[in-house]
This record gives sequence, C-alpha cells and structure tokens, in this order.
Amino acid sequence: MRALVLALVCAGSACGSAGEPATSPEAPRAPRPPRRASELVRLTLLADVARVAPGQEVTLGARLDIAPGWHIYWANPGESGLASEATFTAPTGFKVGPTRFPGPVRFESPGDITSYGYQELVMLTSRVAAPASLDSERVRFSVQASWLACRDVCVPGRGESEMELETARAGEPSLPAHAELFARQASALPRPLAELGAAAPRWRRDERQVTVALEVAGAERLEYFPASGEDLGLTGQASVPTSAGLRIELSYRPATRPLRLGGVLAVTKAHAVRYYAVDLEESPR
Amino acid sequence: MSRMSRLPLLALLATTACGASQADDSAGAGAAPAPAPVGAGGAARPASPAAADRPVANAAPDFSLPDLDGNTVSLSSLRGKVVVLEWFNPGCPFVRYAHSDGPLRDLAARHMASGVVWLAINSGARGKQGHGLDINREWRAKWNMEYPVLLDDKGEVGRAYGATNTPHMFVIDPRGALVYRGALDNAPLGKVPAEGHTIYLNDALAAVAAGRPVDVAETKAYGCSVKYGN
Repeated sequence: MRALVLALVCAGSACGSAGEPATSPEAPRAPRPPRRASELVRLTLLADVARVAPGQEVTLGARLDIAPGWHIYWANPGESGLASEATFTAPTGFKVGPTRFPGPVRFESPGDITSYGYQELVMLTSRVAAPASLDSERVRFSVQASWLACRDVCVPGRGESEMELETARAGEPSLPAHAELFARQASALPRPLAELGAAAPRWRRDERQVTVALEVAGAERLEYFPASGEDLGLTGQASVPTSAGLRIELSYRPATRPLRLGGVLAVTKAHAVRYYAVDLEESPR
Repeated sequence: MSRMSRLPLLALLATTACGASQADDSAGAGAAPAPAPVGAGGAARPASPAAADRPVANAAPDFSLPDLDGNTVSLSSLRGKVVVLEWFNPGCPFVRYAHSDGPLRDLAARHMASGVVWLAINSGARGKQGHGLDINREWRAKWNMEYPVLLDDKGEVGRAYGATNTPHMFVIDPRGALVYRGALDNAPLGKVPAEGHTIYLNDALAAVAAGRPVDVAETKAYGCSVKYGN
C-alpha cells in the first residue's frame, strides 16, 4: 500500500478568518498561542485494509494525534469549546457512512466549566462501501477535519489528508491494516443500550425537575455524556450504589415536551470502560 | 452541569441584592471617577419605586465593575434600558473572529444607535489569557468597540451569570430581567450551517424592542472557556 498522506494543517494565525486579524505593522497584537496549530494536532487518514475488493466495506479513520496537555472536543463539546468534525470523501460509486465518534472523557476548567473530548489520540471513523465493480487499480480517499485544541488557551485548526488503496482482484484477500488501532477505536464506539442489559429506566417528573434513573448491575462507575443541546437542561447527575451495582440519576429542568435523551453512557465494569448510546424518551409512570 | 443548577440561584442572588455588588469598593479605586460611557456615574435609582418593589422573574444579578479607565459601571444604574453583556477575551480566537470578520464588527454599534447599552466583560483572572489593561485597551481600540470593557478578574460577575464562553451573550430587558443567554449566533468561526445564519442576539433584541417574549431565550454558547482563576 502506498499511503499518500498530505496533512495541510493551518495554524490559528495563518488560517484565514479563524486566526489573527490582518494587522497593519503598528497594530497591537493579541497574545500569541504558545504553539502553532500544526504542532498541536496532526491529522492522518488511515484505512483498516491495505487493498479494497469490489463490494467490500472498509473503515476509514481520521487519526488525530494531539499534543501532550491539549485536548480537542467530542460531537458535543459541553459547556465550552467546539465540536470536532471530519468529512470523508471517496470516489464515485462508494457509499460513505456517517462520521462516528468514540466515547469522550470529561474535562473540568476553573469556574466549573465542564467539557467533553479527547486527549493524546482519537480516531473519527466512517464505514465506506465499495461498489460492486472496481475498474481502476487504485482508489483515492480523503478527509477534511476541523477541531479546536485547548489547554489554558484555545487554537482552532483544520486539515486535509489523503490516501490511496490498491484494488483487489477477485478472490484476493483484502489484507488488514492498522488492526490494533482500529480495534481499539471500535471498542470505544457507543454500542446499543440494549446490549447493556440494564433495567428499564425510571422516570419521575414534578414541577421542578424531571429525573431518570438507570440501574446497571456490576457497574463500578457510571458517567453520562449528554447530546448537544440536551445539556442545556441537564442540572446534575449522581451515581448511587445499589445491591447489584450502581444507579445513575440524571436531573433535568422540566420542559413542556417529553424529555428525550440522546447522549452516551460510559459504564466501567472490571476496570474496563464501555460506551452505550442512550436513546430514551420520557414515559409517564 | 453545575452551571444549569445555578439558574434559580441567579434570581435569588439578584432579588436579595447581594452577590457581586460588593465589588464596588475595589472597582472605584485607582482612578478618578468620571462619567462612564454608559452614563453610570452616580447612584441612579430605578425609575419607579413601585416597579422596583415587585420581584422580577429571572432577575439579572446586579454588578458594579470598573472599565478600562477605572470608571465604575453598575447594572442597577441602567434600569429602564436594554442591556447586552458580551463576555470578552481579546486572546480568544472566537472573540477575534467575531470582532474582526464576524457579527461583532458592527452589531453593537447598530443596536447602540437604537438605545441599547452594550457592555463587554472580561472575567479572565490575573495571569490568564486576555488579562490586563493594556491588551484590553489595545484590542478595544483596534476593533472600534465604542462601549466599555469591564474587568471582572475575580470572576464573581462571570460566575453569578454562569458565563462559560467567550463570546457568551446575555440580554437584560428594561425591567432588569435576563431574557436571553447563550451564543451570539449559530456560526462558530463563520461556519454557517445548512439552515442559514441566525444571529440569536438580533432576534432577542428585536423581541425586547417590540415588547414580545423572546422566542429562543437560551442557546448553547460556544467558544473558549472563560479564563477564571482557580
């Protein structure tokens, strides 16, 4: 495989509108970010195979390497920040699936500012299905991504990365690539909540708040990451020990419409974290 | 999340008239008092005592903060006016975009022309990005901000409002009620979504001017975190 990687990362100060405004020589300067955006986050497009066969589904990954001490944001950045984005492009005939975000971690900044995101390394992925026939010997994929890198200060960045895969002949195996990295990434993707085997959620509503409680047997730790927008109404979460494990209780400001949860529940069991996609609508009981 | 739980507290803080107003003493120190650009010179009283007696739902916490020339600006002196609060940090890329290429280039001037009072508040702590008189003076001038930048380096006012982002916008109606909190618009760093550009702040101000309730009274703010001290 010849992976043609082209990372065009533009620094906050050299990135058009996002950066420092155009200044005349005598104009004052804003405090400089301590490092250039190109050093903060590096984007590399990867595939989980070295060659692609007709009709095959492959996974593309926008690998983001984040400088120590910095973080970038989940699909819901939380109370500050900006969601990371990745848009994958494939040749005509390929079907590109939605961009998938692994479960995040939580960051607290002074002033009780809670945000959600990633440190060190994250890969945003997309499942891409090849057409039933492939004429060319190589196919080219690309990804455009944008992020906001923050430490004590924030620096926006964006980049583009490309790669080529050989096409496989009929009967040729597709050769896995970056197997460990893709497996690790896949294990951090939210799974259906049904796989958790949790008891049915219990809803309670009065004029002051709506609460939902979810009990998970064998859980050592539970943490809920709300979907974007949903967190405006989320007033608190608490984990309560039960005889079988833990119960998480989420409290929301009451709205006129039934409450809908669309976030991710992180469940720690036997020291391992798994993420579950929560899609629940308030049901009166 | 704890921020949301603070919402009812906001009203409480304001109705009991405590909170950030103690900042007054330190605020006034350091420079000779001169009329502030917003006319917050003296101890102005609410226009009507009867109106003041009635508790305002979702009252905006009062504050007194110094501007860059040492003049104190008090929210209570602005009763009867529509007030916009803009959380500010001249080093934050979102603030820099909004003021150099984005909506804040001319938004304040347009609304101030129709009588709105606009105040920028910097809640960054000493030693944090965007803190300090010089840098705020420089960028206020560069961006032609014809309104005060108030310094809240203890972060008391920012915390009382639950300001998390720069920019983070708040609209206070003439009765002193907080009628909008959240994002400036729906296009962070100019990235306009498919459904088009909405400047929430314009909608909120239009509703207040027309005496209508604000349709979208709260949105999710985006931007840099406010650089509070520990």
